[in-house]
Amino acid sequence: MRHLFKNEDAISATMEYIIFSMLFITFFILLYVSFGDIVMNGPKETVIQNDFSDIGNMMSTLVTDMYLILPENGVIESDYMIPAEVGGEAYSINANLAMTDQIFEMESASGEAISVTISGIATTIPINGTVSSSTINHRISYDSRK
Amino acid sequence: MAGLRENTSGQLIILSGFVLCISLVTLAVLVNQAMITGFHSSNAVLEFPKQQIRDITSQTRESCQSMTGLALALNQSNNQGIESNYHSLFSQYKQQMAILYAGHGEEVTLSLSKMNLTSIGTNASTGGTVWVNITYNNGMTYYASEPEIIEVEP
Repeated sequence: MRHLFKNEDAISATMEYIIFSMLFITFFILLYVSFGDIVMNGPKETVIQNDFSDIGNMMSTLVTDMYLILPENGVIESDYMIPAEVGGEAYSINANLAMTDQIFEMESASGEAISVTISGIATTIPINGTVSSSTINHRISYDSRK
Repeated sequence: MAGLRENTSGQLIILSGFVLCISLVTLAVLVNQAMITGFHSSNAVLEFPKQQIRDITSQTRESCQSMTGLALALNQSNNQGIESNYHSLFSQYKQQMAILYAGHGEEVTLSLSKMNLTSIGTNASTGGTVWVNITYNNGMTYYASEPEIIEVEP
């Protein structure tokens, strides 16, 4: 063992060359095969998850705020702006009435989805609607007479 | 240069340099991912005019109450009816509110749709009711309370 530490001789230059070449080729093949997953899909998934929860929280906040100031007889309409694409993909926002626990569900074109709850408002006022990120106007509206 | 090529000691220093490099790059990537969250959710809170709308309705309720007192007092001094005094007071209030909110780029319109103040003039203990239409628009949010029913007391 002591001999191993004191010995400073390495292998021959040819063997070193072959070993290094093989290592590099193996490394390159591995990288080539998994490049898309490592460099593109992983960060993209993270970006989509982060942005969806951000936009979902925005929707939830907006609906909660509107609920707090609803007129007894009247109308309230609010436009909001969301990015047309997240991670290079269009997406849709669903507020589905059929669900027992009312949530906003965001789903991207590639199937990435995230859900955000809205603090139990739906039990008093049902919330319903679907919107695509690529439409020009996005609006939440409430009418007490309907 | 010869010393640099033949000197074989100091691998640990080079290795620690590599480790530091990689950890710094990892940290930078993590920080960049954390930066992009939280914009839309905080922007929605700032942009939605919840306080403005609440302020308009509560101010209108308060002003309708004080206008009732003023209209009653004016009725004693001039020979106009309570309702006509109330109308002129309300139109002043309406103009002031419109100017105040126009200064912030918001449109506020108030109108008196109906009122029941006849019992106030005859019986001091009973209250009256005023129906006020309130609309608010800042380009993104439109709010209409038609009517806001306000109970007033003498």
